[in-house]
Order: sequence, then structure tokens, then C-alpha cells
Amino acid sequence: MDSPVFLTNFSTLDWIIVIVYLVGTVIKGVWVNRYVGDLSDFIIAGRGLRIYLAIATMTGTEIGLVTIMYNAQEGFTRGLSAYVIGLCWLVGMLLIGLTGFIVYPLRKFEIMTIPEYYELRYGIRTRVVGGVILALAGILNMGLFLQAGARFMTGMLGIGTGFGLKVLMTGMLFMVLLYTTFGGMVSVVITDYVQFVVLGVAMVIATVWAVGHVGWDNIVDTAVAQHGPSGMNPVATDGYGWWYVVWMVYLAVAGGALWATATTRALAARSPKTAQRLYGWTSITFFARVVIPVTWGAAALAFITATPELAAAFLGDGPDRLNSQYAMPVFFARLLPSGFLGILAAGMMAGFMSTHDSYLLCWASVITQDVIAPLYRVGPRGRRIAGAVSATLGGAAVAGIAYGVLNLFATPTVPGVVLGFLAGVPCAAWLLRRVPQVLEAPDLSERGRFIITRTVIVLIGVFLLVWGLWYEAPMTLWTYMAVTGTIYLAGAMACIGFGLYWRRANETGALIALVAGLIAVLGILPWETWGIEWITSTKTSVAAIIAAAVGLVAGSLLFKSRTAAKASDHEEES
Amino acid sequence: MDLAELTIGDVWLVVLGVALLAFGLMVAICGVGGFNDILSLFRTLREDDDETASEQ
Repeated sequence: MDSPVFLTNFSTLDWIIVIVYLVGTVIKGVWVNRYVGDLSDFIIAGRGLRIYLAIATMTGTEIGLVTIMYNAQEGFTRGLSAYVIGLCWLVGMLLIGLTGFIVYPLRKFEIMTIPEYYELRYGIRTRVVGGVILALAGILNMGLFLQAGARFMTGMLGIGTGFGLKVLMTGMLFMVLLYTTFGGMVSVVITDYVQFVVLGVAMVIATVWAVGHVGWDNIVDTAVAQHGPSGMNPVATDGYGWWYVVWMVYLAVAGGALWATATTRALAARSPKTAQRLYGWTSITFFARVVIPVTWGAAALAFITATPELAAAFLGDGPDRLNSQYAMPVFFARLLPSGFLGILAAGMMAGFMSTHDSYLLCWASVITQDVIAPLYRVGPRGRRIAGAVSATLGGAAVAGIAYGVLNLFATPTVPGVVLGFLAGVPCAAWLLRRVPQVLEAPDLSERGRFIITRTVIVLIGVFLLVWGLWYEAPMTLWTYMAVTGTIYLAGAMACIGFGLYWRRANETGALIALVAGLIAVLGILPWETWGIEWITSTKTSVAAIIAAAVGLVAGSLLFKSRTAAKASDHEEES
Repeated sequence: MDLAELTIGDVWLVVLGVALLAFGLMVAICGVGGFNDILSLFRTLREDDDETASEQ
């Protein structure tokens, strides 16, 4: 232990609990693989989810270690006013649950991914462009998962920052990749269920424990003392502000209905009615997953303020100030007793795995089903594009591995990364040539899709490692998640919302909307560091949302439709 | 208690209480119901496999 900050009650007993739990989870995941018969089983569990299991698995995915980390960070840095984000989610999800907005008609299409709808409604180009943007936003969105997860574990285990963090990140990634590539959606569902029960119970107990120990009045007083009125009131001066609240409500509705990992659960539900009911129930989840961790973060702030060495480490002004993500795990590592700490850590790790496996599976299947497979259908030219993209991705993956290995030992990285890329491209191209059924078939075979999906999962894993080691977000983790989510949601909400409810929406409008959503990516740049403070993530995100909606309407009205209205026909039939 | 005396801290405490209660109940209900659903899912997938095998 290199710092008095990282003290912990985590003992051998807790290690045993965590290891038994995780090993059991991995064995179960591999065992469940026997039930994966075809790609539909792999991606959407054969569309056989009943309501309780669907709720449990959606909750398991949406309450993970990362969710808890970013919400606890909001509680620490913004005080209890961050509860407003939970209220926005409650309203948004209830709205979908009560009306079936988007989810009900979308489930009727019997599709596996959202871009499939793009093709039905607008055509193949929209599907490919939409798939690329969805995968880009989704992978960027999970870019900091590994970093946040490793920070939690280092805080809980008391091993501090530095080399231990990197080793943990690598080890955790390896475990997740092994698990996801073997099991697919059926094992995801089972892991999510177990995690839902364990983490659900642990979260309630830990909250009562934390509030009971620190005291509610103390939490409130500290929030006001540290943040002023904005520590309690989200729209007070220096608080979130009304525009942020509007953005959150939009994000709750759009994210609830269209964020692919959540929508996959709706698409995997037994019927459109089950999909709709799922949203009504899980509004509680989306509400609690914010409110409970925010409370932990606010309680951690009160605890840390009252502990001199922690206050110096977290609240000082120097460059060595610890990242606020460490606050909650450091707080719990000192507060909770051994045994319970192990259960909470095991639940969190399971949460970490379940979120990762769902996300990895989701984005990998989008790349396979919605980018590569449609390109194959286009003919030889499409296949050449798919081959070039795959080879470049392979090169990037080898470069990423080189970066990760070199960074681990703190050696110069640039030449290694360049060499890695140059070596990776021909290697990936050669490998593709060795899989004739992938390259030469007129359409991608099911086996080819399996191979590509599993390969892409590994490639995304490499990206996570590199991005987690390299990138430090110039904002809170939640704002980063919200911005990267908006890159996709702004365009998707326009395309699907208008596509389902407005007959005149067409391909040109959809493509404009999807590209306009990319404006949101400006929000993750460090504008403040560059001295351009008037550009904020809230403004860029709201601008992207408005531009996408206006772009779709204008594009649809100004340009003539070139698409077959297969989706409209489907709606009329059903 | 007079509602006019409520502070924002009291409101947030009610919000926390509601979140804990609702979430706890949901975990209990879906924990039991979800277990039955898992058994049913396995049964369905196994039947699908058997059907595929007999067709072949």
C-alpha cells in the first residue's frame, strides 16, 4: 500500500468470495454455450425472454459497475442535485412504458438490430451509415468502462493508482472477452440475472449502511458547504441548468427507446406487449440506478471532508488531486466490513462483466449484421470495401495491442504503434483470405457471421484497453457517456421517431439526420483547456439533436424519396 | 408536518426512500419470477434443438 488514502477492510475472506463468484460465473457462461444453436440464440436468446427475466436482464445490463461509478461521481461532484437525472429517467421510461412510444411498433418488425429498421424503412445505405455511426458512438461510449471499473477495484482493494491499475484493466478485459465470445446472449441473460439479484440486494443494504453511518443531515450540509445552493438545487446558479435538464429528458426518452443494448432486450421480448411492459417496470431501475449511487457519492463527500488525509487527496488544489471516481470506492473500502465488502465487490464485478458482455455483443453484432453483411449483399465492390475496412481494423487492433503492451512498461510508444499498424494490415488481409466462406460467398454465411462477430468483440476489447490507458475525459464520466450517446441518439431518434410516425420521412432526410448527429462528438473535446469556454457539451449535444430533427424534416420535404416503403407495407399488414 | 416547511433536503430524502423501496420490491419480485423464466427459456431452447435434430 503506497498511500494512506488507499486503506481498506478488504481481506482474504473477500478475495475468496470474489474469486468463487467470478469463476462460477465464467464456468456457467461457457456451459450455457451448449444452448446457443444459431445466431438468433447468440444475439437475442431466441426471442424467448419472458417479462421477469427480461426485467432482470435489462436491469443487470443497465446497472453495472460503470453506471454506479459515474452516478457516484455525479453525487460527489454535484451533490444531491444529481437526483434530477434519475427523475428525468423515471419520466422518460414511464412515458415509453405507458404509451409504447417507438418500442411497441419497433418490436412488431421482428428485427434483431435497430439499423435493420433503417433498411426496411429507408434502404441499405441508411442501414450501413446508421450501423457505422451506432457502432462508433457505442464503442466510444464504452471507451472508459475499463478505466472506471479498474479504478473501482483499485480503490476497493487498496492498491492505489499506477501499475496495479493497468494490470487490473488487462486482467478484467481478458476475463470479459473469454466469457462473451463463448456464451453469446443466452449466457449474458443468465449472468445478468444473477448479478441483478446479488447487486440489487447489496445496493439497498450499502445505501442504508452509508446513510446511517454518515447521517442524512451531514450529507445535505456537506453538499451545500462544498457546492453552494447548486449542491441541492439542479437549476441554481452554477448548477446543471435548465438546458441540461431538457437534454436529460430527451436522453431518457431516446436512450430508453433506442440505446441499442436496452432495445435489444425489447427486441428479444416474447411480444410487443411484453416489450412495452418491460419499460414500465424498468423505469424503477433507471430511477434507482441514479439515485442510489448519487447518494453514495454525496455520502463519500461528507466522509472525505471529515477525514483530513482524504480531504487533502480529493479536495486539494494541486495537480496530484485524485480523480473523483476514486471517492466512492475509497469511502466504501473504509466503511463496510469485510465479508459484505466481498459480496459488494463480487456483485460489482459481475455488473462490470454483464455490462461489458452486453455492450460487446451488441456493437459487434451491429458491425457484422448492419455494416459488413449488407456490404456483402451489394456485390464485389461492397465486398472489397468490407475487406478493406476489416484489414484496417485488424491493423488498428495490432497497433492497439502494441500500444497497450508498450504503455504497460512505460516505453516510447509511437514507433511501436506505427510498426504494429503496418504489420497488422497485411496480417488481417491474409487472415481474411484464409477464410474462404467469409470472402467468397455471395452472402455472409452464418458461420462467417459468427467468426466476424467474435473477432470484432476481441478488436473492441483492444480498443477499450488502449482508450482506457490513454484518454482522460475533460468532464465527468456521466457527461462523457451522455455526449457519446447523443452522437448516435440524435440521428437515430429522428430517423426512427419520424420513420415510424411520419410517412413522408425518406432516405435523404435520414442520412442528413444521421450525419448531423455527429455534431455531438465535438462535446468530448477539451474546449476549456484550449480557452474556448463558451462551447460546452450541453450546447453541442442540444445542437446535434435539433440539427438532426430539422435535417430529417428538411431533407424529406426538399428531396424526392428513392426508397421502397417496405416498412410502411409491414405496418399496414400488421 | 406543514408542507410549507419542507426543505429541498426533505424532498430528496423522500425521493431516496421511494427509490430504495421500489427497487427493493422489484428485486424481490423479479428475482423469484426470473428464476422460473430461466428454466422456461432453457426448456424452449432445448425443444428447438430437439426439433432441429429430428428434422435433420
